[in-house]
Amino acid sequence: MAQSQGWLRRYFKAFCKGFFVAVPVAVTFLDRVACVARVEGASMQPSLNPGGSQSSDVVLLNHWKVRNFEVHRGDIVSLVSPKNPEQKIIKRVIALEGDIVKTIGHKNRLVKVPRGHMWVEGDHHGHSFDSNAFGPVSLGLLHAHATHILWPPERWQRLKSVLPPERFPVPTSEE
Amino acid sequence: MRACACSSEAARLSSQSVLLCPSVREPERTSGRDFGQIGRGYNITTYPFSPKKSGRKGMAQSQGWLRRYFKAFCKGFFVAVPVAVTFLDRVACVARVEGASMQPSLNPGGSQSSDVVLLNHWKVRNFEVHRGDIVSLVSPKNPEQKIIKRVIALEGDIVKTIGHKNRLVKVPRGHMWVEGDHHGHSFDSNAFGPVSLGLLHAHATHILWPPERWQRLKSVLPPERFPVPTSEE
Repeated sequence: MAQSQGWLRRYFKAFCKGFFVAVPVAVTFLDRVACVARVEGASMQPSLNPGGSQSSDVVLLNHWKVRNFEVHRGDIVSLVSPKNPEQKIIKRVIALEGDIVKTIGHKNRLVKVPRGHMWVEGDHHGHSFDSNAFGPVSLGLLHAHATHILWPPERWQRLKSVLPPERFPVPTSEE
Repeated sequence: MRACACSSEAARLSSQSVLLCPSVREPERTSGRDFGQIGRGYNITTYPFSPKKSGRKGMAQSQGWLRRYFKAFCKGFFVAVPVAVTFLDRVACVARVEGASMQPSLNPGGSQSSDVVLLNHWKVRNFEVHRGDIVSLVSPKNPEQKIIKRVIALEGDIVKTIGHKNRLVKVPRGHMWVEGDHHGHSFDSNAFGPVSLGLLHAHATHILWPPERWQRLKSVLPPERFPVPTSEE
């Protein structure tokens, strides 16, 4: 009986040690380095979720790349939704601070992106809740840079950081 | 590496390829730290097979100490840093307040002495704030800077602005309106409009320094800053 109690106590101690060490290590990694996420919705078709609701893509989200809020036009990024802080949305960066954007469906036809903000759009125009709806978003809401599709296996790829030519910012000389 | 002929034991062990001359040897020591002692029955312990570990006690011990220190350091570093980071990011941390935008509540002494406040992340983990709370948030104009302001209005409220382009502003869904207590000397929602709750960083609950200003920060909304009652629309 002494042995079985000793075994239980050792197990409990090992569990506690593992728990209080492994959880912060894992949390720090998932929060600051990288994590994975399933993409829902059709706002980024055809780049993400081309199959609609049948099969959702799973993407690799790289936090480390955006730790200094360095994003480029054309990057696919995840961000905290400006209207609902508990939800993350995934969109493409179209314009950065200082750029002038020709909007699609926004109240103003041309918008200049303020300092510290960015303009994001889903690839599936018209089916996307993006900056055309809520305007420029603060870089502070940036969550991660989506770099790869990890699932399904037939869609393994590195996500390219391309800006569609029709979405280029308005050259500032044309103001 | 030289064979030592100073004791019969050493002579027996001379077939080992590495052997340092033992300076002090008690013949009856069979603790297993000698080389090649396999087959000695209950005295079998480790088989270090290291040329450094024998005889020259000073050198072997100091190197063993360094290696143990290094292992303990690595273990501590790779464990302590994530634990500390997780705590400071998700539970609470402290910060020094700069600037005069929250006078007289914070930093009444101006640049002579900055207050140090306790920032409670845990309270805002579900983005639950109340009107009157002093909160820290990511600056909408500069994501690398945190600013500390008081929450004046939440989503759906109508705010009578001070110095904003519109006289009345309705706070959109998922946003809040923040102001510094020192109106006119504050870069707040009167300058940049409503801010998304996603930029919320922490709830400042106490002043920790200087000691004469130890206090719990009260969550009060000045009466002149109450939201406009919606019946007056």
